[in-house]
Amino acid sequence: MYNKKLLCLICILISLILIASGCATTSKDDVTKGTEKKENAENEHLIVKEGSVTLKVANYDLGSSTGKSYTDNLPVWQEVEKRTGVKIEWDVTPSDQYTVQIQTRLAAGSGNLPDIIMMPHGQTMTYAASGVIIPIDKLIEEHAPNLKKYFETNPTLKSLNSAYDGSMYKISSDITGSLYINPFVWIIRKDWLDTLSLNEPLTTDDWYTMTKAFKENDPNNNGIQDEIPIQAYSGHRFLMKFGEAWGLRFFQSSGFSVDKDGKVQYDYIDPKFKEFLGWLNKLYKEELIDQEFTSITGDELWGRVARNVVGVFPAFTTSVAAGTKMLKDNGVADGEYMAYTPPKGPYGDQIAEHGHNFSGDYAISKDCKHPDVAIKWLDFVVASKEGNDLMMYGIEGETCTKVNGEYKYTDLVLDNPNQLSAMEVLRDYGAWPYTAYIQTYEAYQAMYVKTPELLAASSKIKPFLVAPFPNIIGTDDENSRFASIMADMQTYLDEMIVKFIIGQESFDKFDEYVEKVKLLKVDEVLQIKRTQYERFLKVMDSN
Amino acid sequence: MSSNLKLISNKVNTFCAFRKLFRALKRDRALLLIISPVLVYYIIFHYVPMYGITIAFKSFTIGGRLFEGTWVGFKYFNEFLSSIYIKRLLRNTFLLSLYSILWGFPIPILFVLALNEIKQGLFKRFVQTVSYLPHFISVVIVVGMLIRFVSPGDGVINMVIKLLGQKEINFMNEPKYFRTMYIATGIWQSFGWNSIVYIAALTGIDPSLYEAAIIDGANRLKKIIYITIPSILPTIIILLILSLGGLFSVGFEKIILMYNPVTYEVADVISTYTYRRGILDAQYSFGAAVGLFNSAINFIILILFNSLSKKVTNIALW
Repeated sequence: MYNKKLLCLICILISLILIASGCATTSKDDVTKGTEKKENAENEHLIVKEGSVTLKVANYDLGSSTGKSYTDNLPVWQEVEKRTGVKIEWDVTPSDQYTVQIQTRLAAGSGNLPDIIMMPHGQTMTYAASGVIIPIDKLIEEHAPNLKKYFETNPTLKSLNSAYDGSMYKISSDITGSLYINPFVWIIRKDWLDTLSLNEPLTTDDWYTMTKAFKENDPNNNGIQDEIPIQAYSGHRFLMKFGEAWGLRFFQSSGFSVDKDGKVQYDYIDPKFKEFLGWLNKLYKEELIDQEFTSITGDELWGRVARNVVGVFPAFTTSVAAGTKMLKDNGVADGEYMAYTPPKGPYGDQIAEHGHNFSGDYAISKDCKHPDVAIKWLDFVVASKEGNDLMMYGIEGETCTKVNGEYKYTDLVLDNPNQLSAMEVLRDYGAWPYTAYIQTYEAYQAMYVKTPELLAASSKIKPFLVAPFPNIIGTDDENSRFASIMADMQTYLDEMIVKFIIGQESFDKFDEYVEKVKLLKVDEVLQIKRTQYERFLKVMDSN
Repeated sequence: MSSNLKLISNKVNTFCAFRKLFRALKRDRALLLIISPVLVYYIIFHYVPMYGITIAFKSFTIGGRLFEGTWVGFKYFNEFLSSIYIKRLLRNTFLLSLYSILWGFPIPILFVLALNEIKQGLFKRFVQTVSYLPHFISVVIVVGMLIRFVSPGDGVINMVIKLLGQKEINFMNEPKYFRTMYIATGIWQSFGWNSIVYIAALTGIDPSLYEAAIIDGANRLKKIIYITIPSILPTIIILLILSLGGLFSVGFEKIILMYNPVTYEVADVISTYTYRRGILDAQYSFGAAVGLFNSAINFIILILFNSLSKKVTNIALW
């Protein structure tokens, strides 16, 4: 009896301990090590008296490899608090859970919403329509001089940011800098070009010659024809990027382009599309494009890179370093990837669409009790020179130094003793945050100063970069009509395109395909886009 | 006079009935306490939210209350049913489910019947345990393995095909192989786990039945046909009815991992189509409408098969 009771007690104790450990919250004490108290008396950015207002900010939390979180009161944000006087209460969640939890709270509608919220992707206007977030264009007019100037000097961005009635509901990160320094390109095995005595491919015909040589002449020197000249993955989306050589805008613009008369057209029914698909089909037939591109995932891509069989793959320019490192780590000592200029097509087009300028929407919720303070705070963090310098360069003396009036990163960032990458070091300080801010081209140049070949590659590509068709904010009616037509249209397009590429559908049927697309109401889609484009131009000119 | 008596006797009867109920509740209060969390869970998370199905009939705006939103009636149902792909979606959903049940349902039963003939021991337990293991592998990994195995470049299956002198086949791009791959991997993953119910049912068979059969001169096959199968028949029928109740609900996760535009004509089902449409926008109303449509059909089929089974075999869910 005694033993049984003792056993029961022990079991209860153990279960209590397990429960308690599950509920434990680690209290992190304020890390203030090394924060220099700048004795700068000039604090013109002080919005409110120190600590009198607290703003609750909802955001993705850092995915820091060292375990840091925004709730740790990181140095950069301590500075922000000091200079603005506004206390920040971080309402953060790890990135993979952030969207789900914020959507639930926004859908609940009201009560305890944070003051400033990073909106779930693509849904800002839906919430704006139901009044969960407030319009901020008037607030910007009255209280945010830096944001006002930013929009005045960038009419395109102003138009992109405006809703259909001209009002604004969000401030986004301006990632134009990164688009120029880190374009999405095709990354080619430089050492294979050297081994086979090939020049860098300039035209689409050069690409055919190059990939054929990759396939047949065994550049990885192992006696087997195992090379995969072009490794696309996750479907045909990346292959569509080659369409830029025909002037077709699929990759970033979903097929919408503006012709020389200023009218919006749909490139999926452009006659040049047939030629482009023919080129892809030719390459696929001769096994110059991976036969499994429809089912291969990104992870498999890196596995194949490591196995020394991938000639070309699609990625951001910075993957040049990652690809080369992967080769070297796997025994390919001379392996080297490099990014090159986009191919010139048969009509002389040589362009590369860059991505969209905005990323991440910051909005002010209707529960915010001090919207004027919120907009002034956003003005400082996003658009003011001082705030921008903090976001880009971090803390002077630790992550950056001022040389001849320009900021340079310190060795702590560029050559970190703990093998952390530059971005990781800066992020742990609270710089380059996941909040909204303007990313400058100069900051990127400063960061990549230790990898000049990367800067060289991206500056070679820069002249060919063109803007994609703008992501214009639509009305509810436009959006729901667009969504309901595209549901079937997209399915049909995807099916037919892949069938054309892999040869399951003959090109004689191309005209039937165009007819079917027209039947699926492409005219209505174009009409929606044309209306939106006119609005876009109007807001731009209204400056 | 008699009407008054009737009134009083009615009241006494109801009062007695209530007393009986109250006493029964009190007597079983421990059981009720045990089941109350589950009951509360079902009421709060399954019955109360049923009201939310009304968003299928409304133009639901996020941030609005459930009671708001303009009434649009069957707009989303019409949109869904007038898609040019609706016939294909319904056909694919139905066929994938049907074939899964057709091939996948008998296998655990056959497996269990075979297992039953093995003497208790290490081998039997080993086989049983190994059969459960695939159930625990995530579907993402199973599909990943599948894609590796059928890869035209270096997959095992194509290597065998090439050895036999044939040309290699790009399985993932051929619609005619999709169903086979989908169902085969599904069976491999689930038959062991699904056989557990039958194993449990088997333990309930009275061994003296077998002894009597041996005396009557029954061989192994006759024992299976006349004793084992009839004993687990109720379990089989109930599980069959339940599987048929899911005929129009094919989960999208595995299909999304396996399909691509070339195989849409066999692989695109209601759930994957709705998923793709959902990405373009947070189309809650549309999703709710499609979900309601699915559930309604499943419900009708369930009732149909349940009454059919009751008539034919006297075994049914209710």
